[in-house]
Amino acid sequence: MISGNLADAHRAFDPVAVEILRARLQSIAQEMSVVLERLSRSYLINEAHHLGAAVFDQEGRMLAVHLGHPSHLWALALSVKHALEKFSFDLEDGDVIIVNDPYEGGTALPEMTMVHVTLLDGENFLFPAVRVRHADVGGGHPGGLFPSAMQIYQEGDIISPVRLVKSGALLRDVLKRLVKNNRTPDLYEADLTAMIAAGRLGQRRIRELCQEFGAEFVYHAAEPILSYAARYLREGISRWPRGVSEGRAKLGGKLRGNFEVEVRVRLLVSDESIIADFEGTSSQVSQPLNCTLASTYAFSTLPILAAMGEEVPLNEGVLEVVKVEAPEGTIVNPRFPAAVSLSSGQLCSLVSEAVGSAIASRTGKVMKKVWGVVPQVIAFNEEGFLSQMSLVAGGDSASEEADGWLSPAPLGRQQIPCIEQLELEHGKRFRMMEREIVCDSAGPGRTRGAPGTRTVLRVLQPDMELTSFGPALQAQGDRVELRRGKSGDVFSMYIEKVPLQEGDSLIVEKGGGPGAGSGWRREVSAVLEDVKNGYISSEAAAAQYGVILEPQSLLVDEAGTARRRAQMEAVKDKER
Amino acid sequence: MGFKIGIDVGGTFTDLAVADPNGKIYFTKTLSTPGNETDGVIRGIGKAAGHFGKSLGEFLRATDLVIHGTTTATNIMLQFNGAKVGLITTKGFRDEIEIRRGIKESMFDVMLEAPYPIAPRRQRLGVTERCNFRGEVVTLLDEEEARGVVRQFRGLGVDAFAVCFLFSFLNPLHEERVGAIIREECPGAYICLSSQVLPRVRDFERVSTTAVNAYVGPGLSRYLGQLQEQVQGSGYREDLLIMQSNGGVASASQCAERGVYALFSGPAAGIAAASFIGDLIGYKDLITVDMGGTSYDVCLIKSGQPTITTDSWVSRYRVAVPMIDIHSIGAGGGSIAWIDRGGALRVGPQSAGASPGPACYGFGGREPTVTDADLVLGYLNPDYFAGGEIKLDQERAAEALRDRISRPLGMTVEEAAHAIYRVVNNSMSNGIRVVSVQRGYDPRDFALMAFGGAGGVHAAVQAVDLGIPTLIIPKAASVLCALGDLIADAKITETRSFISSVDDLDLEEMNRTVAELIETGMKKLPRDALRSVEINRYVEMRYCGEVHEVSVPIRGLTAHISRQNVRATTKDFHRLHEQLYAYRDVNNAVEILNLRVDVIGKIPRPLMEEAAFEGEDPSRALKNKRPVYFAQLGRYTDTPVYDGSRIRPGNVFMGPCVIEESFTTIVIQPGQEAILDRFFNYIIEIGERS
Repeated sequence: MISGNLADAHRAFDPVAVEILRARLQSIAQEMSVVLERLSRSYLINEAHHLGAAVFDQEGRMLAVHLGHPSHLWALALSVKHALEKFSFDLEDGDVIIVNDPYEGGTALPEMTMVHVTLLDGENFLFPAVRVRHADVGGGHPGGLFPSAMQIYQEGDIISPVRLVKSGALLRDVLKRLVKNNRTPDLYEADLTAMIAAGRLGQRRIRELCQEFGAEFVYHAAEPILSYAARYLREGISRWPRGVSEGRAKLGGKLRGNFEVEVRVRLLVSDESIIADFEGTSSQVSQPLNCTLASTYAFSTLPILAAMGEEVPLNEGVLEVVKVEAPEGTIVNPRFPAAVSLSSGQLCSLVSEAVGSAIASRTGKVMKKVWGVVPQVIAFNEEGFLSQMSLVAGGDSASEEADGWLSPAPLGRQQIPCIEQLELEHGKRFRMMEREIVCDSAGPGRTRGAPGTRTVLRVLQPDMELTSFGPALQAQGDRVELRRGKSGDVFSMYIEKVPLQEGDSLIVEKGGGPGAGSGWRREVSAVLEDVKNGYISSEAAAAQYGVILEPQSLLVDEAGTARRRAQMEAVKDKER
Repeated sequence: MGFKIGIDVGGTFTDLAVADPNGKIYFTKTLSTPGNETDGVIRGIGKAAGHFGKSLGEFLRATDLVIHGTTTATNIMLQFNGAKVGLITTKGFRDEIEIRRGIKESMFDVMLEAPYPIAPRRQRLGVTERCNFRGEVVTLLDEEEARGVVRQFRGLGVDAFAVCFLFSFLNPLHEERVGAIIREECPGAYICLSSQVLPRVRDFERVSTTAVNAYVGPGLSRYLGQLQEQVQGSGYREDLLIMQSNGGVASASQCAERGVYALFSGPAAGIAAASFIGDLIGYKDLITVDMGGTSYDVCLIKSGQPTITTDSWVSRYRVAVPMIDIHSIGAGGGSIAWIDRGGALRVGPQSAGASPGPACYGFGGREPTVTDADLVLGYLNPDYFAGGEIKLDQERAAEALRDRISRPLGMTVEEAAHAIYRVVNNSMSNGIRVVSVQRGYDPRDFALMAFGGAGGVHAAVQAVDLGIPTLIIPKAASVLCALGDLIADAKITETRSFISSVDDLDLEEMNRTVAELIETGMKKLPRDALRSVEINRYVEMRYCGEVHEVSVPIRGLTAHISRQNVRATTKDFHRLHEQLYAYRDVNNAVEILNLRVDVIGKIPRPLMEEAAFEGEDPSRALKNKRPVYFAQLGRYTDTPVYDGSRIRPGNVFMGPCVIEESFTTIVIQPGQEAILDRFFNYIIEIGERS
């Protein structure tokens, strides 16, 4: 009635058991993330979830990963490899290695990986690694974001792989040396401690796993877990037409000097893989916009995962399918010591945009934006006060099926600040005056983009300086403006280290996301709803959607609407 | 003493537990009447009346207490058919409920759509006013503007008002003033002030909770009013009591005002019953699992107290009132098995639900489900499922398994069924790990209690997986929520922000606040529950700089909280923090964020029927034998099947065997031993992990 091998399957190596183990490793990664969130003292980690946690196999291949921010996806894998390489033959159980070097698998200096070495019978075994973005990393500008940096030396403390814990004992001299090079030493130390605690928890869970499944089984399960992810992804892309397509994305603006860069990608889809070839992309620039290899890998992978339309099992098996070719010396693979600190909020989105548009022309479907340029705003003073005000909602694009909605970054778990919590902490320094949706900011379309938002802060105490640079990069609809309360002067675009005065207003606007399809095809009832809800004005309803409304009653002028929509359609036809 | 009636309305069945004047409990079930729950409830009461040889009127006149677990609030949030809510906020902040801090539930799912708007933007308006972080008014309330907004909402046909101003938890005056204006302009409207619903820091949490309260309130209020009228019209003379998500009951009128507390009323009752039974039979530390058609709900009970959380989400809205912490995963009897793109076998979270249901129901379902796998493996009886109400078709189950799973994976139907069984068991075990291991508890220190229709088929496997030594399955497993309604105490939870570092704490202010919370809670207790009152005080603390709090019971037996008490409580905080997050630092500054008080009014509990042991031999209850698959044996084994209705306390069962209760099946694995105890619970001793 039932074959004998079912009974064997229960004990021996079988696909169901591998799937069970994979789920367990995934939950270990997630549990480490939760510990990081809970223990961390800095907003970037505990609320904005700028973190990642992963479990690696004995050879340093990433088996499971849980992310709060996509920037860490491959930086975790690559920096772990660099760290292991540096310390090969010199590792002991309970060692912890820390690294932030963007040129050794990293992204930007505040983002650090911590590797928790785990040996079993003297051999490398499954081990955890965690990665977060710290509040500060020393260097020429608070927060590790230095708009006028020209080389990485100016951006902060470069940490090539170094041992922070030896056989379970914290090396206090190393810790002191790290903390000494930081503007927020207490915060930094607390967050490093959180990383150590999270890693230790991961190690404990891995040991429990071995007790349950047997170390031998766990050891050998890595291969099938990796090939499962690769197979999953291959099956997903098997529906895409084979062949080559191209994508481009441009960015220009002014930082220390004007710049104009372009990311170009050729996407080759075959049965086995997707190759993203960045040949033809701009050379590296003197501004800190350069995007290291780990970022280029991550932000190339994002649109591919997004195009699958479901949760893809994430582990290093994905890199068997997704290949990146980035010529050295370009902005997507710069040479040391090019500055990199502004890449993640800015240039990375170009990588995703270029790859996304190449996918769209391959699949013929509207590709939702997976990552957006963010207006980056940071307030600080010399006493160690540091506040990131970058996180604002808005910018989600429409899909073919649905309108965009308010989430700060489509592929992140960032939470924008809680107003009351922010003011309890910094209420003497500033007060939030407004955080609301901006009418007519949503990109029109048959489905429309998410509306943008405006955040206004009033300065109450003159002890801070301000730096902002997002909108200098001309992202659509974004705006940062500092209005002097007393003189009425206005600073906007690129602002660096401007002292704030009492009564100043800081206005940060995130533009709306693009719509999909033609506005005049949007259902009239949906347009009417949008007007009633104040997402769009009656004027925009007429101009962008061809819906004519009676001014007072908001009744639809059916005849007028039909005429206007016919005109819009005719114009569109003529354009073709 | 008269009758006490506990009623739990579920999706399919309405369950009743009735304690007669001698305290003996009678259980019954009727079909629910979705759309008009009241009918099913009245029919159920009528059925119970019949059992006691009384008319409905006679029965209700002889009843002291009717306690009800309702799905009304939960259903409103599932079906989004609540009130038309008008939300009034501080000017400049009306979109917080839509911006929702930018939270997105599924990171890589770009296609995830916006949550359903329970307060669409045109029903949200700001009013000029502002308090700062100390609760000081920095901008006066513009009353005329507020009145204009209320009138505008009235014009839109708004029937529930939610008012949420920044820092109102420190200074509620502006909200209260707007409340008064609403009462003037719209007499009879449903009004929720955030400073009353959730007077705690964090604007998004507060506005979302307040809006949900306004959204579910009027519908809940109507339903409870209607039900109260019906039972009172039929002869019941007391107040109707309602089960709440905090695990205690409150009067219907109190509940109607705080609709958010009526969410998850049913599941909370099940947990109340579980802790009651555990207490009765000497298991105060329990992990409970409730396996239904679509979900598997796990909860941890420590020292008789279920864990409480303020982190809940309901239909993608944040509800931050303290409620029983139920971890729910999408794994139930109806969960569908499928093969993903990578070739892995997955189970759920899609469910075939009750309609079309599992393939074996024969209602047109084609997808293989957990129930289909359980049937193929011999765990379920095709002729006796859900009290015989549903006939299970083995051929259809096998066909679905063959088409969707076994052929593509190249295995036999039986292997496929067993693979599904393993995968779903693993999800369940992981669900238990989340509430135990991941929160610093060792599951081996707990007993596992399983209930809900499908719990008994799988629970023994989870016990083995997690090293849990004892599994308890109440005979009343399928009606446990109704029992919970019957035995729960009255409980009012009051909470308020109280922000201070532990080091320079104003103790008098803290004592004053706690006293106020207790006083408010006492006023809300149903009057029947005032005879014996217990107060539990909690303080929510964290290390300075963290953003999540740990809820710590305040140490101390005296009403006045002393320095000494605070020190002891802080010590407990360090310990709890380490237990939860594997880290403590006694040198770190600790701060207090919120205070919470549970005012518990003891309601006399019915006596559970206690029978004498009647000998170990269960052969009187032996029904037949059928082939059942057990992995440890590696094959189908002819396995004894017992008829639950004939099993007597003291009967002992050696695994492998199957026990069939009318609405629950219990599978005893090989090597395990079960006994029916004096209170009619199956106690299963789990052997060592094989």
